[in-house]
Amino acid sequence: MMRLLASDLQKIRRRRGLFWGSGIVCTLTALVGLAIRLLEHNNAPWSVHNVWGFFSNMSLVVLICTVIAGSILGSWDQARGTQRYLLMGGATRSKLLVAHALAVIVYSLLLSLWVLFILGIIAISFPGSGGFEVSDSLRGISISIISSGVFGLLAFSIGTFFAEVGIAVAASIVMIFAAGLIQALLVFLSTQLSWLKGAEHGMITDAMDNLQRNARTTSSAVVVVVWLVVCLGLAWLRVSRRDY
Amino acid sequence: MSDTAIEFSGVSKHFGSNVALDAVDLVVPRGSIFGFIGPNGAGKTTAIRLLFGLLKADQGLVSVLGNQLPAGLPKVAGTQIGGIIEEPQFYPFLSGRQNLKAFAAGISTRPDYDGLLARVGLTEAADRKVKGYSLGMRQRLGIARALLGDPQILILDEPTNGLDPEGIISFREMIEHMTQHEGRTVFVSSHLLAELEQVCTQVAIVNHGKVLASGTVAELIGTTSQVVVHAGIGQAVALENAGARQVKQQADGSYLISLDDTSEQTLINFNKHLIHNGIPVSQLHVNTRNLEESFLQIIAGSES
Repeated sequence: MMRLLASDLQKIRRRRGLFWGSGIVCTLTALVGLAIRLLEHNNAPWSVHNVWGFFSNMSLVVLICTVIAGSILGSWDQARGTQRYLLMGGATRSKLLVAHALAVIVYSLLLSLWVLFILGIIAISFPGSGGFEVSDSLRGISISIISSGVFGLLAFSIGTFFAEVGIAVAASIVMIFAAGLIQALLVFLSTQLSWLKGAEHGMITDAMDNLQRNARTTSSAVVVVVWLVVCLGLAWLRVSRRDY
Repeated sequence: MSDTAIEFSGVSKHFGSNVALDAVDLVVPRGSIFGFIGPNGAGKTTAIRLLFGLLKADQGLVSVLGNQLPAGLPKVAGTQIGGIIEEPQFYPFLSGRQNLKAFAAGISTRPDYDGLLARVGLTEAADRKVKGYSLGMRQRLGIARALLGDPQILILDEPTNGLDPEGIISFREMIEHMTQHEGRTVFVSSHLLAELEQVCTQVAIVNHGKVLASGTVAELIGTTSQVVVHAGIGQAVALENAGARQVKQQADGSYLISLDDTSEQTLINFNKHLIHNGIPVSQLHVNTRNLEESFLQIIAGSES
């Protein structure tokens, strides 16, 4: 299993566009975003809280990169015919699936840590005064990192259903953002249809928002876990039953 | 230890209403080079995919070195059986060596990557990205990948696709070496029947999911009752009078005839008869068939 995981991470590292591309995009976004904030605040002294708080905004970029990586990992081997050679080499379908999923999580974590590292350097370079609440910041950062991992895994699951990598990436991005739209639609419809009241709480985007805001934590965590279990279960069914 | 490397026993596989394999029985002896031939869509690749557990048979038993599949797959995949199926696929953004490492991740043993790359003549290209490889180089890398687990059985589906004539010859030498000096069994499917005829010890012909014939190459080519006679122009009637049947004049002016048998004594007697009747015979020999002609005849027979 560890060799399969190491191999998957190696494949991510050797994809220049994905590995260096996501690193560069995240770094540039962090620098540009912070520069804009600096200008907006009229060169006011930095607060460490502001810098860490900025990570929540940055996490959208990390999330998109992770969704792209997840959908590529989910679809590549099946779309390009390499899956059959991995199976012929003795790897089982379930081990391959688990190794791919773990690789998505590791990638998401490493990218988040890289962004934190960049922001950390900026925070040290521009020491501010007061307003830094360690517990709040750590919670927000943790939920942002978990959110990237969760959406990466959902994209990975979606990717297993596509026979074309480009379409899998596009579909994953569209579906992840469509979830937000569906959630808004449900909120709107629930004002018209009483039986739909609260239906938006079943959406993973709503659950992640709630976790970020420290609201409805238990039920939101359950919703996230159910979404993950269902999507990864469907991916496993797809991979285990498919002919190669 | 069993003498059978691969066995199909009453194996059937359907894709919807399409019958890919229909009650196939096949035994591949250990240490043989077994040619598996048939037209496109005959069921060759389906049979090969069953051997790797990439498909499940609807009916019948598939076994590899005595291990029934798919239950016995963990015992054989990678270490006992390796191969190429259709076009060899790789990670284009990885080098040849990195690709071998990636595909060896599921194998319990640690392969000798440099040795394998040297064996297929890719030492110099080992650290180049596969996206820059020619089809022939990818085929050779595919053979190196098939050998990662040092398997006893090698399954090769169209392995000579993309190879130049020199590559085909070195491929032939390589699989002969694998069977004769390393004791491996090679199961090879190819459209290059002349190549298979030279290298295979046994052959099976398959069409519409059924095995139409199997045996040694000599058995499949079989004996023929056809004889070629070079006897000048306008001798058809004279040949018929001498006992020849189904006399046909060929493009080069010779006659293709049928005799009751093609034993040496029959040919001597027939030749004597022609000379005695004043027919100027310059050449007379049995029309030897090759695997391709036998294949076409068997396939045509199955279609009619």
